[in-house]
Amino acid sequence: MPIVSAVVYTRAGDSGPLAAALARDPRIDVGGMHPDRFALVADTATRAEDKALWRELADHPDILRIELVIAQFGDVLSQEAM
Amino acid sequence: MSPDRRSFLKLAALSAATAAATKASASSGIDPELAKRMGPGVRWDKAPCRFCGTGCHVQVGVQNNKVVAIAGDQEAPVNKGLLCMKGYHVGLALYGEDRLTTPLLRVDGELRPISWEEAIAVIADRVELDPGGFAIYGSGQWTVPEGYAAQKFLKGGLSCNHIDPNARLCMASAVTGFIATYGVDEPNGCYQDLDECDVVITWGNNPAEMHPVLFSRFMDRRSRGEEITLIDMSTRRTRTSAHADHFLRFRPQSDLAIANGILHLLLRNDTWDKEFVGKHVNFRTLEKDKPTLKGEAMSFEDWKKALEPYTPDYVSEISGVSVEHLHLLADLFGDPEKRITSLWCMGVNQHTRGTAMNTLIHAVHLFSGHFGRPGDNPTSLTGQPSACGTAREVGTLAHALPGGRLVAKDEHRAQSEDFWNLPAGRINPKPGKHTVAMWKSWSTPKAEEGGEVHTIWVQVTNPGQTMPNSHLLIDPGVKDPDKFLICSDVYPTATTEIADLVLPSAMWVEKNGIFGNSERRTQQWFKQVEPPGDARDDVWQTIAVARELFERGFDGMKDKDGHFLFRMDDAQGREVPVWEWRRYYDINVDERLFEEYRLFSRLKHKDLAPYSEYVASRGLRWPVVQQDDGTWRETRFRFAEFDDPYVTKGAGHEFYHSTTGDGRAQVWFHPYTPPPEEPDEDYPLWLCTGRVIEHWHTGTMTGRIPQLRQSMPSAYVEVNRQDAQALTLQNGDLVVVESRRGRVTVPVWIDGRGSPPPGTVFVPFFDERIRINEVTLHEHDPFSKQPDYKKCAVRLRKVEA
Repeated sequence: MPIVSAVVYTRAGDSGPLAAALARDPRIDVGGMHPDRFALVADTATRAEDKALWRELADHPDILRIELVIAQFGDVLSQEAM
Repeated sequence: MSPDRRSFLKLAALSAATAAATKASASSGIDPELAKRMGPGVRWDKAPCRFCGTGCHVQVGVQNNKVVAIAGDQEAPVNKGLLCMKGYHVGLALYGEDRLTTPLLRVDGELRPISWEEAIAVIADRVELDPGGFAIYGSGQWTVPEGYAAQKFLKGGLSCNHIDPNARLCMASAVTGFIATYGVDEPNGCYQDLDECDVVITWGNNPAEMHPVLFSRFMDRRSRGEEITLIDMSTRRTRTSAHADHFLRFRPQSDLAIANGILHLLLRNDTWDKEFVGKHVNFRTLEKDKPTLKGEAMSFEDWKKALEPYTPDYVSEISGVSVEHLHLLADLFGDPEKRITSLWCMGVNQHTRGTAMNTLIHAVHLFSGHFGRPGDNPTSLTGQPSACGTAREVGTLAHALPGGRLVAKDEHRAQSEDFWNLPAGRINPKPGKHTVAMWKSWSTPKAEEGGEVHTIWVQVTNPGQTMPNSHLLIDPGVKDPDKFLICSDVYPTATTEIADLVLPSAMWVEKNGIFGNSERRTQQWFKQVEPPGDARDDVWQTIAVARELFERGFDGMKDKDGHFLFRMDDAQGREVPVWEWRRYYDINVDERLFEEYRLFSRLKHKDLAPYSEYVASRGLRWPVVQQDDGTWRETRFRFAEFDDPYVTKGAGHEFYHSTTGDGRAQVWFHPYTPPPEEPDEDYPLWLCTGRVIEHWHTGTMTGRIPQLRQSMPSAYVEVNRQDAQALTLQNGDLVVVESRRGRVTVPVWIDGRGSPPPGTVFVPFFDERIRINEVTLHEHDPFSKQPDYKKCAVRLRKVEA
């Protein structure tokens, strides 16, 4: 049950439209925004889905590069609520 | 967003990315985006991370009396919003399913619940049995007030000096190294060195895993295009080595020869700093009869002669480091334009020559003049969040008193008695037992045979798993029935397993606290959630026992006016019964103890500011000195005129606690000598032990965080591929790692995360099911008394299915 976050660097000077577009994906939440970059966390159900999503992001024409920040692959869904 | 664990993780991950993307301060330490997402029901406050000695600040999000989120604190100068994987999960350390919630007394071999009143009475009974045989074993995880209260209780109350922290196992050699060199403990530099250096040299440590935020602080500069050279010296390849420009693998113990080899080359190349040396250093060597940290004077000519044998060829032969690499090191130190930061930690400290090796690193910096400029300093790191703030500064060591005072000195005892309002002569002049001696005494049945320590109260640490050669020092199988072990902790551990009395403690943001990190930064936080069940603050536990003794008429718990040793009054001058748990938070006990302790801090130019200054900041580096306008100014670089207010104007640099009384630091000579145990025919491999990034020390907290436990579920033995082939080992095979002292069974990881050279294996110590300290040596440094966990001889035996 991967949770992976990263800093996404955009090719364009305004990262807003790309962040907004990606945020429509239910697996993605967007965090701190800057003109050329923004924070992103992806929450996927399987490692395969996670891998596919990040491949998709890496191949995205508006994304310059991705810097991985934190990756969690533990089965956190089974944990009791805090 | 509901505050379940998955949301917690997502927020932590997103905050990490946000911090990484931001790298700029907001008006508060919380990222506005994160705060917005968490909603108005979450209350945020600052706290230093509970784990290592880096001292990162986190923002703690609390809702309904639970920590529901952790964010990197963007206002914190240490970490600027970044956290490591342990830091992001620190909130979950509170919520393991098996928190201790009630006092437990062992009856007929079983731990049974008792009341706090009964527990306190049991401890008071043990004290009254013989106060001089009652010991406290604490840690660098004690908050400053916790360590201070324990110190005052024992030394000021019981006239007993048997108190020592687990920091003895961790950084004691750094302390003796600093004192032998500068006459006073703790680094002159600070983390700013990492921002301004040209070269980082890691002397046997692995900050990529053990201090990842500091590691990223200088690696981040490289990613921004700055030129920064990393030279990693180690006995095995690690994650730090993977990023290094130069990896210098050396044979265990030969680091002394390498340091001497650098000094030899600086002399031979005539690249040492004559001006700095002429003005600021003396040369020292150990006295032949009774060696001390002060040593005896050595002429420059004699010192030079002593280094003559350490030619590159000779050092290369001892260490295995190439002649070219030795020249590389000497050339860097010989270049006055380079700014060089040396980092070291357990590899140098957990060493039977730890004091010597510490002084030699200082010697290389001082002799080459790489000292005192930002980026150009020798900086030892610590492993625990308050090893510096509590163990070292409060002085919770068997020979010390707060503020760098010594129990053996009449004047120092008199000062402490004055501050504590005690009758003259209350403090015992005889140093107590250091860690290894304390546990050896506790494990020895008869007082006349050295077993006078009858009771040890363990606070905030887990010696059952960390004591070296644990069969000898803390073996429940040989425990004398008359000996008694008390353990205050938050979870069941290897120590509570054998304890006679277990006390449930509040942890981290379940109580007020103050830590002091590796760069002399004192950091404060407030209680943010209630502890579970009947868990209570460690300071309260100490005060409650003191009060029980006071009420029984125990003289030591009275000051010279007959008042309670821990008397605290309200604003109207009425005594507040802080020994009653329900009244404990009527006043801020931490603040009272801190303000009392602060008096000591000025005695050795480690001045602390008032408590309120720490409330308002993300920590301040001492000495913190009040300015003419009433503000408080911290000090980044000690002994340097441009920043340290205690340096005489015009001196440039001044070592104002010089052991020779002339304002100079000491450059030592220490010869290389072989280690006490080396591989042989019976035990042909070196064993090194250490930590991993996922777990903190004995894993009692990180092991209860599912994400960290799943990332690294068990200990392993790293084996070189060549050795594995010779022993027909495959990954995952179980092997017995065996020394002359004990054995453990552990799975094999060929070339592992680190990569040991042929003839060397590595086992981390976090896993309580695989207690590698049953195997390690208890031989220790003669000055620091710190044991050597980094090298002993072992053999591997495959466990056949």
